[in-house]
Amino acid sequence: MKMNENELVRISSVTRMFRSKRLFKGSSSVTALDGVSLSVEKNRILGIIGESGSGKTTLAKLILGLLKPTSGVISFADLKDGKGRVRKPEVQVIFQDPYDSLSHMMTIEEIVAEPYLIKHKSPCNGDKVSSVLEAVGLTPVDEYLHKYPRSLSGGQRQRVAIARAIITSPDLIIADEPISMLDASIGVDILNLILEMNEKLGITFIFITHDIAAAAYICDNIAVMNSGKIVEYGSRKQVIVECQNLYTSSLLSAAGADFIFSENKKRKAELAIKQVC
Amino acid sequence: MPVLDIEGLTVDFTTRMGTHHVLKNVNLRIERGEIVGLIGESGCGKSTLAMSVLDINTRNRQMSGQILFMGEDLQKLSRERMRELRGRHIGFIPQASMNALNPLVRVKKQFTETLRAHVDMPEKEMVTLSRNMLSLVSIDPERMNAFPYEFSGGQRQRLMIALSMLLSPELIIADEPTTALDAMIQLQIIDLLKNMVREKDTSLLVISHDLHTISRICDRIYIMYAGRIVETGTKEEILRRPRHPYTQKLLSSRLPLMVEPVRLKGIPGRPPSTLKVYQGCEFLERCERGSELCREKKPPECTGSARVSCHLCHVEG
Repeated sequence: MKMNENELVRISSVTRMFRSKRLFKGSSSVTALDGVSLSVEKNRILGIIGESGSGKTTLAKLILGLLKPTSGVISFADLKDGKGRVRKPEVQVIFQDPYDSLSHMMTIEEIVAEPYLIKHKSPCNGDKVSSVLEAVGLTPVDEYLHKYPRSLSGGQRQRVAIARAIITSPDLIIADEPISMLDASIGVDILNLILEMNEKLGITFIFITHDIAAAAYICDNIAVMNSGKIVEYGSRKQVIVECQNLYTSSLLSAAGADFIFSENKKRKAELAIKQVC
Repeated sequence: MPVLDIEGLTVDFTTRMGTHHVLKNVNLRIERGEIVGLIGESGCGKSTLAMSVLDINTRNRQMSGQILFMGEDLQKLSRERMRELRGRHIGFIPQASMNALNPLVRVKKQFTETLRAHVDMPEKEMVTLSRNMLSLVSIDPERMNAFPYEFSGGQRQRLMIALSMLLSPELIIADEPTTALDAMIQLQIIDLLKNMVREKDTSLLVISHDLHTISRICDRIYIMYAGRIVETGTKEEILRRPRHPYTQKLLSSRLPLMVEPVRLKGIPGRPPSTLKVYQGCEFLERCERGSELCREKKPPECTGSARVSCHLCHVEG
C-alpha cells in the first residue's frame, strides 16, 4: 500500500473481535473495534479520546502488535536512516499505572537500561542511562540511579516509565492514559514532558485519554472513539470548537467547556457585526 | 449545632522510620445540610482525617484534639458505641469504593446485612428499603440478586452511595468518590451525591485531589497541605479569589480547554516529608513568594475568622 509522505502508521478498516467460550454456554463475541481507519502523522501528537470500553486500549495494543486484527491492515511507513538503509518505525509504550508498570525488584538504572539491552543485545553504558534520566527531569541523576520504584512518587515513576520508553530512541510512543493516576498538578508536568519530547526529539506520540482537556492541551490531531468506532476526527481546533458529533460535545461539556461555546458564539457575533459593517 | 466540629486535631503515627506527623492542628466544621470539600494532593492527610473521624486507623496512632459529632466527643465513646455510630449516623464511602463491595456476596445480602447490624426490622421491610434506595441511585432494583462484578465501575460507585445512605446518616464522608472514573461518569456521580444529600438533608464531607470537579457541588471548601488546613472559604471565595499561594497554584495547574496552545506549569517540587518537623511554613520550598519570615515563623492557623494560613496574606491584610 502506498503511504503518504507524512504518514508513520496507517490503520485501514481494522476490526477486532473478542470471542469468549464458555463451557456449556456456547460462545459469544464482542466487537472491540469496528472498522477503524486512522493515520498517524510523523512528528505529531495524535490524541485518542473515549470512555472506558470504547476500544482505545485495544487500538493501542493492535499498533503495538500485542494483538492481531480480526480484519483490516495496519501498515508502517518505511523510514530511511542516515546510511540510506530502509527500516520500519520503532514503537514504545507508556502504561497507565506507574505503580504497576515498573518492576519493584529492579533499581531505576536497571529498569531504564533493560529495553536497550533487549534491543541491542548488549548492555548500555551508564552515560546513556544518565542522559535519558536527565532528559525526563529526574535530576540529580545519581540520587535516582540506585533507588527502587517504591521510594518514588507517582509522578516520578511515570517519568521513569517515559525514560525507559525513550532510551531506544523510538519513532513512535503510545501513551495509554499516562496521567489518569496522577494528581492534577503532577499530570501537567508529565504532559509538558511529552510535549518537550515531541519537540526536541521529534518523537511521534499517540496519546490515549478520557480527559478531553488533557488531549486539547497537547494533541495536534484528535480522534474521538465511541463503542469501537471513530466518531469524530480532526485537528484540535476542529474537534473542540467545531465539533459535529453529539458524543464529542457531551464530552466537551463534561469537561466544563461552556466558555468555549460562549466564545464560539462570541466569535459568531463578531462576524455578524463585521458583515453588517 | 454543627454536625461535625473538629478542633485542633493532631495525628501522629509511630513507625520504624520515626514519627510521621500526618495531621497538624486541623480545624474543620460541617453544619447540617452542608456539602464541604476537603482538597489536597496525595499524601497530605485527607484520608487520615476521614479515618480519624471514623476511628478506624487506631494502629500506632497518637491523637490529640477534639472531634465533636452532633455535640458528642467521639474520643470518649466506647468502641461498641462507636461501632453503632458508623454506618448508622456516619456513612463512609471509601476510596476506590468500586472494590469495597464483597465480590462473592450478592448485592441484596450486602444491603440487608448492613441494615441488620443497626436496626431491628422485618426482612421484607429491609428489602423494600434497599429496593427504594437502589432506584434512587438509578439502578434497576431487579438487579439486587446480582453480584458486584456484574456492575460497571460507575454503577458500583452508585451502589456504594446507596449503601452508605441506607440508614439516612447525619454525615457522609466520601473519600475520592470520582477518582478512577471517566469524565462523564464523574459528573453523574457527583450530581447524584448532591441530589441525595439535598433530598435526605444530610451533610457531606467530600475528599478529593481534584478541586475543579468537586467544587461543582461544594458549599464550602477546605484546602489541605502537608496535614494543615491552609485555606478555607466558600466555593466562590476559593475559586474566584484564592489567597494562599498553594491554592492559586492548584487552580492554575488545571488544564484549561484551550484551542490555542498555551503552556502551563505544575507545582514545582514535591510534598514535604511527614517525618520532618518544620519550623516555618511547610509550603515554603515550593513557594515563589516566600520570605525570611516564612522560614522562621509558622503562619497563623486557619481558625475562627482567619481563612488563610499564610504570612503574605496577613501582611497584605
